[in-house]
Amino acid sequence: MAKQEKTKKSTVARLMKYLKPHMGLIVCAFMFAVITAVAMLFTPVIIGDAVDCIVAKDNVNFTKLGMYAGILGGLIGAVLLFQWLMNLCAQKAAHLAVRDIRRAGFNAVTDAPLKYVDGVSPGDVTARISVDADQIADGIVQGATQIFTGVVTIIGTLVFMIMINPWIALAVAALTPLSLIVSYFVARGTHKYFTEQTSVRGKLYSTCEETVRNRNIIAAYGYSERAERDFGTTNQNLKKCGFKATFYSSLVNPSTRLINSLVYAVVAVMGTVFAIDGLVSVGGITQLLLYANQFARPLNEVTGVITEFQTSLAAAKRILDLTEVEPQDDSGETLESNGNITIKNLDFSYDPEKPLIQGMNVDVPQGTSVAIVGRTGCGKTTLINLLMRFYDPDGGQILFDGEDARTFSRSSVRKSFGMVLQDSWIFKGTVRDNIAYGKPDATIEQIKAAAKAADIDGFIERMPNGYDTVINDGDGISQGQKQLINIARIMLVDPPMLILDEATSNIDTRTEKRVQAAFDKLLAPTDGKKRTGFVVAHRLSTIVGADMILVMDKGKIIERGTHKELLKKDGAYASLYRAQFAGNTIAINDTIGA
Amino acid sequence: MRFLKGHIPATIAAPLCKLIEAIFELAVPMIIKSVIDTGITNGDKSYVIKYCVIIGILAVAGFLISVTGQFLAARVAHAYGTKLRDATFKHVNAMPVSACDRIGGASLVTRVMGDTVACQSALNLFLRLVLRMPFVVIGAFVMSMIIDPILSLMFLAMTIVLGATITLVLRLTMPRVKRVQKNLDELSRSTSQSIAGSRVIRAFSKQADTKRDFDGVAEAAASTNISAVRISALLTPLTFAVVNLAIIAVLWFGGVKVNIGNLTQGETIALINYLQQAFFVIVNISTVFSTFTRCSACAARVNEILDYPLPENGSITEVHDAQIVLKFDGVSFAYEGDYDVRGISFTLEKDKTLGIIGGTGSGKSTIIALTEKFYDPAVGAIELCGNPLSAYDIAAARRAIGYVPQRAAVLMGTLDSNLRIADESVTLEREENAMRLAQASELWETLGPDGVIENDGRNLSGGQRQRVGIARSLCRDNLLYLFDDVTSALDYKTERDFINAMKSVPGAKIYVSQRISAVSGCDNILVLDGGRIVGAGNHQTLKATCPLYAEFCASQSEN
Repeated sequence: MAKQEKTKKSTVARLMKYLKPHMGLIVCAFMFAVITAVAMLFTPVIIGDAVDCIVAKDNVNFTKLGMYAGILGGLIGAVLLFQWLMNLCAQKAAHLAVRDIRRAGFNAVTDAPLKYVDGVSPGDVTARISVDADQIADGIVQGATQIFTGVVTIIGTLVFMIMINPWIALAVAALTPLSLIVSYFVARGTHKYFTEQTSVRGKLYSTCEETVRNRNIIAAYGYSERAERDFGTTNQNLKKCGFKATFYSSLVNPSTRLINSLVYAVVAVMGTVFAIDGLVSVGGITQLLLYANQFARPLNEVTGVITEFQTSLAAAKRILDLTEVEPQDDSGETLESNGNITIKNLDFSYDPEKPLIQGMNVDVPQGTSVAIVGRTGCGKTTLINLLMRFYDPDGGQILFDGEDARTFSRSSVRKSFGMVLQDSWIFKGTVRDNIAYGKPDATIEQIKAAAKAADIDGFIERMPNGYDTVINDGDGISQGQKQLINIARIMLVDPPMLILDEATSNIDTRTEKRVQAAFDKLLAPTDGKKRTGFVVAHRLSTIVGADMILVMDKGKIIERGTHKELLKKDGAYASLYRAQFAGNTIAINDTIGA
Repeated sequence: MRFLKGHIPATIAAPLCKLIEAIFELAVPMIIKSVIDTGITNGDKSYVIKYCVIIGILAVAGFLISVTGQFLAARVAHAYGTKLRDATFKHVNAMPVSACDRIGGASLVTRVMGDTVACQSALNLFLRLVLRMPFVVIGAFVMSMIIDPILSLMFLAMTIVLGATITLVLRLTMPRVKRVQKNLDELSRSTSQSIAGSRVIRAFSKQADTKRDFDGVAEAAASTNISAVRISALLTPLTFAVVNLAIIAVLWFGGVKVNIGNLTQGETIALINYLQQAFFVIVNISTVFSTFTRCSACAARVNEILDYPLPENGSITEVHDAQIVLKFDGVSFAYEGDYDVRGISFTLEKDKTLGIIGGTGSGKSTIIALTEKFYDPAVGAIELCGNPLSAYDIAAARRAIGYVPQRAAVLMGTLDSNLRIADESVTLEREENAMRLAQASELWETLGPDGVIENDGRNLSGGQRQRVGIARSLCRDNLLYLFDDVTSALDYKTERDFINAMKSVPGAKIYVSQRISAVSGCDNILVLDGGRIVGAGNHQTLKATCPLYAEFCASQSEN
């Protein structure tokens, strides 16, 4: 409990950091809140005084009544203005703070090591930055002003009641705990069942989503009856806890009304009895009754808001945690590599329990094209991650021109490589911007040349606005086309070294041939010196021309050499190669014949 | 409406309870009036106490009745919502796959989960407020009429002004609220885009640009919110102002009337009380309106599902073994607009294999979808074991077919529960054997039948998912197997082992692939291009006669 208290406190403290720059607005909001609350409290007083001016026939004091009407008008104006201003200030402060928190969260994720990014669920981070951050504005800042106004109103009400008649005020104050207890129970029950309802609904949601997503399989195997049975069971559970949640939460209004009515009755009895004895005026009764009418409301609001406040704090904690992710440092010299890479005694694993790369040694002289082959999970992509400094080795070194990679800044290491991955990425923007991502100042001619090299120019020109068509991840553009745009991006920057990790996996084999030729030209330009390149591929046809083929298995290099050398060796590579080009006996004959 | 069956008494009783509570509430200001006018004027303390006790009793009785009403309303609403959800979910399952595809998965889920809940909440609100709200407003108005017909006009004026104010503010806020929602979507999109591109962003060292872009989005979200607040923050103070202006008017004109002797002091107080009672109800009307508006849209979306006509089902409930397992006769089909496959004809005999090869979008998967009757052909006929596919009870026809889709579908649960989808009574031995045939013995050993499979099989690799899908189809005997590009995530050696292993399994098989290696061993191969068959025959014939096939061979092998 104490620990929980501590984390809560620190969430508030961390939140304060973002609220501080907008303190002026917040202080204004609180000031306006006090003015509003006081003005609202004075209204019943004035109404009561006004009622006192209306006694009976021929006994109405119009001068005074007029004055009170004027004051009342002024109070209304004050409430109108200051409540509006209060809301404005509070909301402005809230949304500006939320904006800052969002930026901080987003920046932290952008600067975080990939190790962190790979470990999080993208949906979760997105939810934190969008929905959870909103909760701060709605729940915390608004909540705080509401609680504040509520407390001012309650205290004010009691003060005014005491001023009218201390005994009645005392009676009302005595009823306060009753009101508190009731709203506490209602709020607690509501919270409990709502939490339960949310989790059951989440379960039902995933059953439904899963069934709908896999509708083909479910139809094909007649699984729908069983799915419906599952759904029905969870649905019944939802009915039970959903009913409780709704019922509990619907108790708020009647119980508020009950307490209000009870207070009302007590005030009415005491007020009229005192009035008969001449201790309270009829106007005083009106005032008291008006106060009684609005007494339980702020109390209820405060209890309700506190529950919401706690939920919001949890949401705030989720995004604040995000802002505190350690950024990855980008210090070091700028790498200007010639393309000599040496891997020395390299050790690496994602999970200390499961060693992956162990004691790897490779020497890649400038201009070598290296192909890495092996089964899924053998460590090919991991090696790429290490070369790009997305991850750092646990032991051993990667050397660029003889210098440890760690002496160079990450960004300069990454800039030395042009990288195309199996999972291609495009962002919302024009085709032109997408291709020119690495070289924003490229001319349209250069962009078109890059697109042509990636064999995507025809497709782009057929798009509604050509190179200015806005594309977005996931609509109207296939995996293969996305991959080609990613390739064009690299063709444009013309990097000193190249990394291709299954770069053509989504492209049909005919297009692949043409793209491959363009890569070959990039690696070995007709007029310049050869470049260092790393190629990971499933389709062995794309790598037969490599200078060095590394065959990996379980994080180790088990064979290395050129295509011819490895075939001659008749080991793992040879059997992989034969499997690929000899699907059956006929094909084997073909290969042998050819 | 039919989902309310069995809850009719509660459905009527709930609003009645709320009505009685409202009557009790309305009585209170009248009692106070007589207490002040009679009690205080006559100095009769026992009179005062008697009536105040009545107020207390009314309060408690009102509370109890109200709680009963809430209880009944919540129960009816949840019973209704649960039934509605069940029915909608069942209907979605019964709908043809083609209709589901057209509506879209996300939309279907929203309808089953979100829209039904909206309907349920609206029903709950309706039951609670349907009688109460108008009754309180009209009742308060009538009561004030009884007290003073002319001053009650004040009342009417306040109601109209208040209603207009609320409507106006909401009208003005609505477009801004929509923009706020859009901004939120944009924030999500921007964030998930950056996470998806984390490697590329880092590779190009574009972190600074990414942050700048996001700054813009965050700034836009903040400023839209602030501008929306500017108007919506007026709502509460404005309603406060309207009510109190009405009170001022009642006080002034009441004063005039009292002075003449047409009204008493107590009556003035009662009038103010009624004003306040009506005010609290009117303020809530806006919530009610927006709930009902949203609900009517949701209800329409749910009804669209429930009213979707289910396809006619054939009457043949058993698929008998036949020499010709599958026959396509001049089949054409279009998802939308132009035909996606055209004039497809072929026959597949018992225990034979058929390969289908072609590039992306050539219509390979469409043939599979037609065979599974996910879609119906526009032209031509499909026969399964001697009978038209449409003559079968669709579930029975599918029971004879082992279908493995390209994007392997695994459900949250265990390995065993995933394999069991094919046949609830499958034995562990059979499961193990199926996994072996699917070249997934290693997975079977490491994970075990009770190994947990996460949502969407996130803890499995693409190749493992595909192999679980294959193994599932092998957990029961089928006359026909449809393998839709199921080896795309497998390496070539595993692929070959799988195809060889399948030779021992009886039943006709269709292998769809982009790879020559996956189809080259088939008895017959169809080469598809742009939805048409451009070549048919075995590997050798096609190599010699079909230029496209030869091109595939050339691009996939060493020169």
